Amino acid sequence: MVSPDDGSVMIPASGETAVKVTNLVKTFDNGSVTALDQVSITVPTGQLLVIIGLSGAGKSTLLRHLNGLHLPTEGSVEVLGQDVPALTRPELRHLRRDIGFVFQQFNIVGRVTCIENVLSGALGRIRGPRIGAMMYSKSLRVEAFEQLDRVGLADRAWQRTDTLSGGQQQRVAIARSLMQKPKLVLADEPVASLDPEISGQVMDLLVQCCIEDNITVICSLHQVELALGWTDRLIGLRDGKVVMDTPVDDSLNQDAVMEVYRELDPSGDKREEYAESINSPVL
Amino acid sequence: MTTAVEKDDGRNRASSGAIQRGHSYQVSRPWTLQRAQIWSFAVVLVIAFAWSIDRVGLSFSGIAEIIEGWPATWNLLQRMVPPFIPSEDLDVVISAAFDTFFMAFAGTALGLVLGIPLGLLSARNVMPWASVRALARAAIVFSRAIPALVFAIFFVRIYGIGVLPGVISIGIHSIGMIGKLVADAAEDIDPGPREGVASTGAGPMQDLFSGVWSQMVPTVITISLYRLELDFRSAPILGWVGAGGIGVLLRAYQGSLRYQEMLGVTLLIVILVIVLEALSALTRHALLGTTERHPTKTKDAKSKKFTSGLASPGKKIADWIISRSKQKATPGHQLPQIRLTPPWTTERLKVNVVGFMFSVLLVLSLIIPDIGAGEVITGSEKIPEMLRRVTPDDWSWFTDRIVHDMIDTLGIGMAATGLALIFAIPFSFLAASNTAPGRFVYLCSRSFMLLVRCAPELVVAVIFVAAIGPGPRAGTLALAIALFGFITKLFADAIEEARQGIRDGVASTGSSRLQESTSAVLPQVITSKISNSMYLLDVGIRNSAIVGIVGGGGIGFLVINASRQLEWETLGGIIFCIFVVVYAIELISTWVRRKIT
Repeated sequence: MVSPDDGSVMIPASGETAVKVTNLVKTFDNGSVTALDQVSITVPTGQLLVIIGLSGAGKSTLLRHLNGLHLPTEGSVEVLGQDVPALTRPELRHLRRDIGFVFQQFNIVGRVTCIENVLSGALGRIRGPRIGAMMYSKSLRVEAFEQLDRVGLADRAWQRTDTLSGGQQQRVAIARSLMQKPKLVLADEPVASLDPEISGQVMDLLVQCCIEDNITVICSLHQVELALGWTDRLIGLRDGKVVMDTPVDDSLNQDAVMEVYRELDPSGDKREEYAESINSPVL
Repeated sequence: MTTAVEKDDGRNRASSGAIQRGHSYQVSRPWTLQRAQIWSFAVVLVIAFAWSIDRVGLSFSGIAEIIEGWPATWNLLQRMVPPFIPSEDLDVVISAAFDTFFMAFAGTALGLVLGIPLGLLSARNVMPWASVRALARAAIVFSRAIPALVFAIFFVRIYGIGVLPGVISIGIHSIGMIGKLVADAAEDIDPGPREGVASTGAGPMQDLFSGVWSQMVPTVITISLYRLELDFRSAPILGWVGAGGIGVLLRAYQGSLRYQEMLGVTLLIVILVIVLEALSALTRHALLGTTERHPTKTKDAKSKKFTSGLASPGKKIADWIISRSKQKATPGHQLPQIRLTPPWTTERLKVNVVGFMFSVLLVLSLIIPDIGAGEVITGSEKIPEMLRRVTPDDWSWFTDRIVHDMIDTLGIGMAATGLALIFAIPFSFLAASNTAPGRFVYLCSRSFMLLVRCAPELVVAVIFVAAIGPGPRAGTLALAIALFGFITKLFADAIEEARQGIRDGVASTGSSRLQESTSAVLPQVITSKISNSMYLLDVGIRNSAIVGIVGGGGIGFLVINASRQLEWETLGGIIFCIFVVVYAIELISTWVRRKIT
């Protein structure tokens, strides 16, 4: 199903739609900065979608609209069948229980234990505040252990989270998201602060867990080669606009993908100018 | 010559193009609005300092007077030594010392219980409703501005002489102090983890505890211990106005001119404060200091470090508990054992021991000073009536004397702050390990600083009033000493935090050690020094309002006088005046600090 107007491609999967964004516009500072410009995306349930683009292209802004951390200036955002901007605070909290969010900076509380961070993923299911892991019920603690075990950190459960390495901290954050039993996981550059090898491991883990639990994933990434490895579909953002939307298969040309990242005007007028000024006789 | 000019010209065009042929360089720093503001404010401050020195009688002629009166002072000082505590009073002194300790402890606890929620309610990122925030902030501002001693005068009239008014006045003053720091701490938290908690669908209370509070805990511990230290310092003097504790004895000895006993009690107070400060530092270290942030260090290394620092019985108990938990943790499975309760690590042990000790102290502080529940109830019934009485109906209480003494108070505060700074700035370089000329000088300066810091200002004021007679002069000198002790620590710590790399940079140009200090260290610490100095002015004015209660000049005399003569409207009016002045100074000080940083 191809709609030629905006070039977006929809891949039929199980038929249901997890996310539907229509003509989304977001401006900051009273309209002087446009972060998202007429973005329309439809994501079917179970899809693994990667959004690529330069820093400031609007990837984070788009993801943050999907769980209501940002509200749109114009356009509509529909997630798991709900109109996100129209939700009241309690309704939004209810929706967020079904959406796991993995942040670039992990966003876990460094000074509490790993298991407490994972347990906080269950807060949406229970009532009332909790201080310390022992305030959660025993069955929840067992569940948190299972999630920590999935990410390979069960032996670190009672350690302070900030004593772990970056990759391990991000795995704790993934375990927290899984603890929510989400239907959708949003990952905002989950491996941007990790080194390439650890990045691969963390991405593998995230994707593996989500496929096991049949979770829809929308992930923003810097690294194209990492994205091509396992995603179903690639979207390119540039200056807040969707400039590419393509299924990932053997026919995909990597040069076309790299085009999204092209920054400098290669025609070279400026370069000659610089060269002239450098070569001009100074002495 | 021409070639040189052309050369320069060519280079400049190539680099920036800003400076063109024919233009001269601006060799002096251009004046900006901000720079003009700061400098004119500095000039105003210097003039204010000169005026206040004259006002409190410490100008050249004033100092000449002190020197002239030296024989009399010397005579009095001789009557103070050797300090001693008579053996027949020993049990009274000891019980008073315990009362003072538990009074301060219970007061801080009261301040924490009420101050932490109030602080959270006034934090912008916790309380979304501006009206609630404004109310909470107003309560904080008021209770901060009024010194505990002034509250004590009021509550002694309600609850009668004893420890209870002391606990309540310390508590109420602490609410504001704690509330402000907690609000700042809450507003400073990293919003990231909070977003993480919010994105799991947590509700507002869950977000408060799991997202905000869990990040604030170390800061709140630091705030609590810091407040406890300060309350230990203000508690001894509360007895002066009848609020129980060791101050009652200080007053009695001073009244009967038993100066040796007076100095004896003073020294006892200083020793107690030093001991408590050391205990507080130990607690802080146990709770926060040994936190392992390096994943490379193994757990075994940690427990070794912990147990080696313990006395042998404690070490045995710790070893036993840890070994027991290890046995339980690994009963022979090859899979990582799932523990549903946290293991007994050294960290957890320490937290539990400290928590247990503090609960015991809290219970003791409610039992030992003999506060009856009946007293609390009958006294509290009088509060509305008293509040109505201290609210002035008209301006009849407002006299020229109040204006005169209020100006004196400002003079004392500014003169004492200025004097403290003049001595503290050079001294702080001697008391910082990285700038001190030698290890010996550093240790001497640090010990001297600690001693001065631990002498409560009003207790020192009592001595000064006895030695050079009552009046602003004695109050200023006593306050200056206390402020000196307070600020040198902040200054010296700031200098020690200065980055070594920048010093190396300056040193590598072949500069002397003094030049290193002025060119590399001073620029790094200057903004924090100015900011701390403005804070010191704030503290100075706050305290200058109360030195008069022990005879140190300023508005404090009128406060205690109005209370003695049961002139309630006057008391209320003066408290209002103190609030206005202290709050105005705080606003100015905050404005300047924001301007600089």
